[in-house]
Amino acid sequence: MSHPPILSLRSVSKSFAVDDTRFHALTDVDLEIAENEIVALIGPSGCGKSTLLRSVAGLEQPDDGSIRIAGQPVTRAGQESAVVFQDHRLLPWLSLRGNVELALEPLGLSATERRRRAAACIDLVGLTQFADSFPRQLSGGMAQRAAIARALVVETRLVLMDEPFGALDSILRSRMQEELLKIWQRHRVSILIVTHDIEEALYLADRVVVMRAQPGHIHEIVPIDLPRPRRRDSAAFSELRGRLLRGLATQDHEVAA
Amino acid sequence: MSVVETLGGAASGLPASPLVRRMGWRPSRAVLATAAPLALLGLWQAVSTLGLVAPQILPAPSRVAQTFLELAADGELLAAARISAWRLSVGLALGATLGFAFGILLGASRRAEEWLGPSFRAIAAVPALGWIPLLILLVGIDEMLKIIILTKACFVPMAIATRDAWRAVPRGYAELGRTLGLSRRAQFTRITLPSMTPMVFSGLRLASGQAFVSLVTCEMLAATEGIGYLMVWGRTLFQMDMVIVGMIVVGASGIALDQLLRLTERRIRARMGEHV
Ligand SMILES: Nc1ncnc2c1ncn2[C@@H]1O[C@H](COP(=O)(O)OP(=O)(O)OP(=O)(O)O)[C@@H](O)[C@H]1O
Ligand SMILES: [Mg+2]
Repeated sequence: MSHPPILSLRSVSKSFAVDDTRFHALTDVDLEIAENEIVALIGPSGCGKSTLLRSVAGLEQPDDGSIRIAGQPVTRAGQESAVVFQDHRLLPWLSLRGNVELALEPLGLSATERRRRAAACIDLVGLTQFADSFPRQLSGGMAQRAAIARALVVETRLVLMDEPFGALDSILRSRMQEELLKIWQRHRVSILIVTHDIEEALYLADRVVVMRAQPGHIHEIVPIDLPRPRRRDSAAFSELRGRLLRGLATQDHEVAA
Repeated sequence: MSVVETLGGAASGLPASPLVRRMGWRPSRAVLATAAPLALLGLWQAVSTLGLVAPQILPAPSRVAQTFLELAADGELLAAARISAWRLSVGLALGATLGFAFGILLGASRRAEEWLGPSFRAIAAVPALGWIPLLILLVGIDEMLKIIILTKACFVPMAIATRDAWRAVPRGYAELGRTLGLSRRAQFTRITLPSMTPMVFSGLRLASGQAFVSLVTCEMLAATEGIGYLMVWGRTLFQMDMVIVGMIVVGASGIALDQLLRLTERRIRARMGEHV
């Protein structure tokens, strides 16, 4: 971690007004992500994973604390970060190419340059054949890859993903994880990925952030020092899985009690 | 599907739709749609032939057809249709544009909805017909009257559809526009507007239907030209054939306009990725 962090959160808190009371979705969250690092966020439903991600994306305004991307405070959405939502959110009236090119519109490039960059990214996710297809003609996995292409095309240094493969079946899901790693190795971006799948977190991440609810906070941060490509059946992998499972299970127990 | 089959079975006198299905006979939509008018025409012809109703009150179909040809030949029908079509176009253009703008205002601004929404709904509740007496006193029975009535008739459904369409834009799309860093203008033209198009177009179709009805009503009550006036004139002369020609022209062009807009709407919806 010799480089300055691409993302840094300092005692970030966020609450929502719910029937006259405040609901604390995030309290005192501190987190740093280095250049080229992949960090996974896991935790039980409602512990504030999406809220954290949305705050970094500039879609939520934290009550307290600071969020900086490459040293700059986040003041508006779409600043220095790209988002992949759980639903692909491709616009149905635009072709795949049109959707990807839309992301380039704010950059003020020439039409040819836009087209060139979009084509390169569509190729990167292996959808060149479908560049002129419309979202309704794509399968779930293809649509999700298209959404990833749209996020990568602007070449921000930070990509935020909220359960990007949550809607996919397990076979497609592991294929997408491999592809994401390939893309990441070529593109060298930092990735903050929310998932509720421990294996996915272990397979992808350099560090796994375990969150807990009521109020939402970071419970522990587990470094994953396994070489890539990782084998899901290795002993080290299962040991880490056991540790993360225990971290999550303890809380379920507490909540139940 | 079953409704269509039932209608088809009834109109063609076939008792049970399973039989129709087994025989593989599937009448097209056009055939189904013309079955009832043809039956009505047959009934009408029978009534005239049998002399059940006096011809002064219900002239024979042949008489009406002849009148139609006469009116068409001397250009009277065309002149009336042209002036009516002009009124309809102007009213639709004005009403749809203003209604769209007002709908955007109501949708986008809570304050506008609070201040103007209730009055708008009150005005909308008074049908076009109810405005005519007051408007005649204010602007006479000139073109202005028809334009105002038609504009109002289109304005209301258009404003409502636009406001609802604005509110129906998925929140996720708006968030996407923000995270992509699009300018406000680009968010509107590239995301909000396309997303609203199908619903707005439904509003336009509704508006044209309302405009059509208001046009004929208005021409019958306060005009000296147009298809509606032609019908009133026929009644004054006790020429029911002329009245019926007017009714048929109005009905046929109404259905043609609706079909055209329906077709366009379907294409737009398909283009917008909706399954229809
Ligand atoms: N706009 C909002 N208004 C009120 N409460 C909200 C709002 N957004 C989130 N919350 C609450 O904040 C808590 C955290 O929500 P969040 O979506 O971040 O959870 P999550 O960890 O992503 O859960 P999941 O795994 O189910 O997606 C939830 O209890 C949710 O009800
Ligand atoms: Mg979530």
